[in-house]
Amino acid sequence: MSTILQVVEERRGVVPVLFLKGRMDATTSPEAEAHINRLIDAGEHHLVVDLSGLEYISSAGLRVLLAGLKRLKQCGGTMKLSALGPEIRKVFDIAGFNRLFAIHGSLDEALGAGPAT
Amino acid sequence: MTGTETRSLTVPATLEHLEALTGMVTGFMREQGFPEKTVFEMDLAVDEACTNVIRYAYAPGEGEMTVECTVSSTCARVCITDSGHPFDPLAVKAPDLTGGVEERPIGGLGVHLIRSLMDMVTYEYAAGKNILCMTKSREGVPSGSESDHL
Repeated sequence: MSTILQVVEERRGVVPVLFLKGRMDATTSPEAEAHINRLIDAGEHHLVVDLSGLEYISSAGLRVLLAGLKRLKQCGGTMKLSALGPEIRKVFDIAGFNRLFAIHGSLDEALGAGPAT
Repeated sequence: MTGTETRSLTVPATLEHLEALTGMVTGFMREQGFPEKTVFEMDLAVDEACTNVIRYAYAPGEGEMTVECTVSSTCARVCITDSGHPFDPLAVKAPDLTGGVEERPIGGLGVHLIRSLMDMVTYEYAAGKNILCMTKSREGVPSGSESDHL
């Protein structure tokens, strides 16, 4: 098993897409947080985070995503999430995060949907 | 009844040992034929509980913790023991999940996840130790064919 989190950034048009793959726990989440903060610091206000490769998320990972969303909201930005697996989706539902984030079934859907809430 | 099997691990209460603790439990449960969904949920509950101990039980870098996993034909039970400050995580108030992004506090979700995912959670402070035990039934066992599949 691995407790590695891989953070990959790609541009789709002008939109930065972060792919988070592996495990987001207390050990690995700070890396994702640093990446999200770097993008926001660089003036990006509309992020798409693709979770299709995410195998695991704990409250430490949820915290990082919420902190990013809070920062973006303050500057009128958005964070859209795409392609959550069933277990990840369940964690989001239990935490009530399904009501905080714009969650899309696929990356294409997230990119096609325009800036959401 | 096929009896029970137990595996346990004691490590210094630091984040770098978190993987060894969760890995011991998930590896053992997989060996014992638990479905991945159940393994995932126990993985998360053990992670949350251990992270709390690592962050709050001791002064940084001090103290040890033990994770003990007992598996039977019907369930897996994990007990986490530390000798740090007495702390009952079950006394923590459930978080308010109704607020919007702005008012949502960062954090406070770990214990909520544990309670939601586990079938039973107990806490006791005995002989100078915090003991948190979490039980998850083996899903798919005959008995109770009505499961929560969506």
